[in-house]
Amino acid sequence: MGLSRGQRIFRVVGGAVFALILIILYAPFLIMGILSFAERTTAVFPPSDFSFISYQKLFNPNDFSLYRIPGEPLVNYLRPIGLSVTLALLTSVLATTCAMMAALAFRERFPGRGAVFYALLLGMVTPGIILGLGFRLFADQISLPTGWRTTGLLTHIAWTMPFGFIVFLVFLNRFDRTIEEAAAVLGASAWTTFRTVTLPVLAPAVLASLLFGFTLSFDEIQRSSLVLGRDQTLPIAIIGATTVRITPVLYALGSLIALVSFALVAFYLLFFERERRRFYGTPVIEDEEETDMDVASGPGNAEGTQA
Amino acid sequence: METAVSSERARLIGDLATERPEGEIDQLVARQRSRNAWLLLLPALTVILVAAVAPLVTIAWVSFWRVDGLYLVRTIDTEAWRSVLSDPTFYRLAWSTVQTVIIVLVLVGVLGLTAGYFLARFVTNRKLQALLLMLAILPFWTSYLIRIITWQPLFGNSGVINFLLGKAGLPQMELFLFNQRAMIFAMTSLYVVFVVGPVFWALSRIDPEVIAASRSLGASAWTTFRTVELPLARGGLVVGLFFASIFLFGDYATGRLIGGGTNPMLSDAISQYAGSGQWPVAATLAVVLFGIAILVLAIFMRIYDLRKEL
Repeated sequence: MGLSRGQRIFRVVGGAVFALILIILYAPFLIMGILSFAERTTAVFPPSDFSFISYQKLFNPNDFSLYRIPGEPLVNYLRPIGLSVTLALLTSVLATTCAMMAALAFRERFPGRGAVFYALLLGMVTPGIILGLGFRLFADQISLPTGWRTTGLLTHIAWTMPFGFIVFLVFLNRFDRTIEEAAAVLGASAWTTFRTVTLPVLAPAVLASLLFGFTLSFDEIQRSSLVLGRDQTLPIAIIGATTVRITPVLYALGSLIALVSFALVAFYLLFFERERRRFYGTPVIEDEEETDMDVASGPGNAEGTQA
Repeated sequence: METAVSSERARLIGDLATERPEGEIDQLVARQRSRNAWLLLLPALTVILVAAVAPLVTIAWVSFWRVDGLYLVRTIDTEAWRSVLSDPTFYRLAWSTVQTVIIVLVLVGVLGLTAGYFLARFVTNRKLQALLLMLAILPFWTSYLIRIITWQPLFGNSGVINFLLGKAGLPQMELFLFNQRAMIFAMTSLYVVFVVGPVFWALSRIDPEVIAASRSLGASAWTTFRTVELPLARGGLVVGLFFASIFLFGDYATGRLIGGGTNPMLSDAISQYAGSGQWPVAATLAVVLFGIAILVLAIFMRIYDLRKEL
């Protein structure tokens, strides 16, 4: 097929826009990597002195002999990292459990279905700062102490659960329920049917929901600033550090987090693709087209959309 | 669903003798299913009630309270509302929030649509396409704060951009930091990831036959895009913009770190009033922001019912 003149122009413009977006997305990581080796300041580029001292400071926050720059703020990032990882793991598991149960409920028709659907999304669509403020005030009224174990964890679950819920709905609407019925007719109990039939088919959705839960919670700042009490998660610590002075230690931290998260997500995507192929047989892009056909004609979907 | 033999029904038919009239079994099944559904919903609904519904109700309530010294006094007092509504700063703030959100959404939409369309139609190598798509959506999973904190060394006066401009013998750029332009640019770069993926998926789902039909009937590529592809890809675009605006409305950190607080968003003002103990004013602004956000999301839902994508 020959391209018209307009299409040729678009190909150039579109390619340029795509390249620009990739540059905007990845340049910060490159710059951060370079600056993490700067010894003194990050405001001047290129840095004049290179060393590993920022990484040393990051892992030895109590070794004062490393701090030789006058007025350099001392920040211990290790404790906030630990708390953020704990909170993110708990959030992702609990939010995924709640989300899956809720999505399974949505296979049935029950009175109030439409209202419940919108209610469940409230934790996601309400601007974060509002939920943080509201929960903080509510906790004060019922004398619930704020902290990561109480208000923090609940806030993070309410924030990430709707994402998982949507993922599960998308999967369940394309789920052939007769295989569950076959198991039941053959004598499997409800729990056995769920464990051996439903859950394996939903495995990719579980993985996606866990990943949403972990990353959204790990990065959460909008809601957390008011509900964590005295506990400091990593984003709170980072915001606190930037209001004082940005030091290369922050970039060392950022580089390591970026590396770990890229590796984690790449691993996840590969695993996800393998699981999908195991149950659905075709690669992702072809599969996307196929499921769309189901959406257009399948009765299961019609039911899901008229929530 | 009606025609399928459900597991509950299979069990009930086994348990109850088959002489039972069909209608009675249907009723039993419906009741049991409804009960099961509510049991399954219990954990999720509890969390939402405690961590979303109750906070929202509290905010509406507290906006009518009063601060006495350091203490919140439970009354019915319209002072916070009156002081907010009579303050010209509030209208400027609300307008600059709406304006910022609209500009960012337009930029993100145009860039995302262009990039998604390019990827779906002009990158024909499937492997390369998958790789580029992954690169375009991967940063969504990485820390947003980490991407924000490199802004200063990138755009500061002695930053990377000016270093590169200097190397190329071009004039130095004026400070692209601590103003509204910088904030809008930063937000665009943060939230464009939401649009590229959904637009690409929506476009790649369109049957190639449909496009071929349009072209063979004499429509130009532009007409085909406008009348066939864009309406069919609308779902993807709206999904992306919907999620971008969810993050945008509550984002107070970008404005503070990059906008430098010169042109704050409502979200930033709320966090500052809350920080200084002026809870009723913060709550009043929160009610307003909630109204604006829900209105915008409802407009998106009207343009395209997102439940169709489920």
